[in-house]
Amino acid sequence: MKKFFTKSGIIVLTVVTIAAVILCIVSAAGSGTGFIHNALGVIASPFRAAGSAVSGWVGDIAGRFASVESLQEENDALRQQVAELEKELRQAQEDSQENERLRTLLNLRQQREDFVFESARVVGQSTSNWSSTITLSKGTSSGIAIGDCAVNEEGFLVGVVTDAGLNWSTVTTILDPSSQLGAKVFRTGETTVVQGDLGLMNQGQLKLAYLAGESSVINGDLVMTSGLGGYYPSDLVIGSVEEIRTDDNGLTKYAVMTPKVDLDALVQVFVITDFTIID
Amino acid sequence: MTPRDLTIKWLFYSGAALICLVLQQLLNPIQIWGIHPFILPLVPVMPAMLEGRSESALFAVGCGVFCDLLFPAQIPCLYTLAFLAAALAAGQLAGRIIMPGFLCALLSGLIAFVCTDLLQILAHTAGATQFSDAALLSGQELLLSVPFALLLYPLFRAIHRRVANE
Repeated sequence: MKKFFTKSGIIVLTVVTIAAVILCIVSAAGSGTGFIHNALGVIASPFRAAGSAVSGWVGDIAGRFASVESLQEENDALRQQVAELEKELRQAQEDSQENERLRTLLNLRQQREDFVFESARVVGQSTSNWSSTITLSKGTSSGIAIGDCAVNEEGFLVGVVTDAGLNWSTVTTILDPSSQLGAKVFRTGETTVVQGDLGLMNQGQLKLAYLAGESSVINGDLVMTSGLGGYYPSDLVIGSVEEIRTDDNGLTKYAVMTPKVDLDALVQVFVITDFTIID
Repeated sequence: MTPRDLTIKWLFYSGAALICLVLQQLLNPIQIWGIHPFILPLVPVMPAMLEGRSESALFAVGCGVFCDLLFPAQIPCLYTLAFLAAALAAGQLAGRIIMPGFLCALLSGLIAFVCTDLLQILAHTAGATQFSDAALLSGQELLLSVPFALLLYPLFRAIHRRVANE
């Protein structure tokens, strides 16, 4: 038996090899799919599918593991990008608000070409209940000096600079009890004095003092700076009359006024560093 | 107590005073009757109540100068004078009349506001302000602010216990 395989095996192997080569040549030379090729394909098909499924699954898992790290990196990058975009958005919103304020200011600047403005941010409000002041982000290095008037973007009077350092200044608002300005009633032209009052300050109001007994001031009258003496600019809107009261002496009257400017909402003010004195 | 310990103790009290300054900034927007709680006068009386020594008076003067520079009032050295007087009074109160505690903190707070607001009333009524307006504001401020002594007292007591007694 062993001899048979040794002697006949070579013959069998040779025959099978020749047959296989002939089959390959026939299969390659023939047009279309040969019967044998077809049959082998049919038999191998489920194994191919199974193999493909298994390799796909394994590849999928490997890919998933590989992508976790890249996803984390991508996530970090996206988070950073979102933070940067949010920061840019906040800045854009602030810029937009400032732009709006400056546009409104431009109208005022066109009306009063003699005004030289210096814009400053409000960095602090008064801590004491006995005074009403705001601290600004600019001072003498920007040309701000004691006695300068501060207005909002609409030109409504905020107060007067009472203290100034190199890069800061303090504005005593029109509500402060120490505040006192020459004023005139827009409708009648009557000149008088606007002053802060401790009793009215915490209600956000101020006083139009020393009204003559025959004064024709009525509720709703607009009050502006008189500019008399040339110390403060004229025609800056201070507020409107809310109520007329009689002084304790019974001879003179005063009016309670509400300022036009909303002091609690102030973010930016414009200090008038120079103006033309109108006689 | 060595000079080093003394310095550390008062540095801690100064730190607590800075915390109070930050708290004051947070309280500024909270308005009741148109005014906000004003806790700074409570700061110098707390160590004065707990320590009852001459350093407390010096600390009160420091706090007063700081406030006078930051929040100028009608009188140039209003807070310096008021805080010094309040600290001396609070020291006497805690040393002779009542033991330091929450009640003593409330009474010391009351003293602090009496001293500060008396000077404020004097300064304002010297001008055009009516006494009734100034007194009303003082009463409102006192009612809103003195209860904060109960909040500040544990902070200063903690420093006193941990640092001052080491």
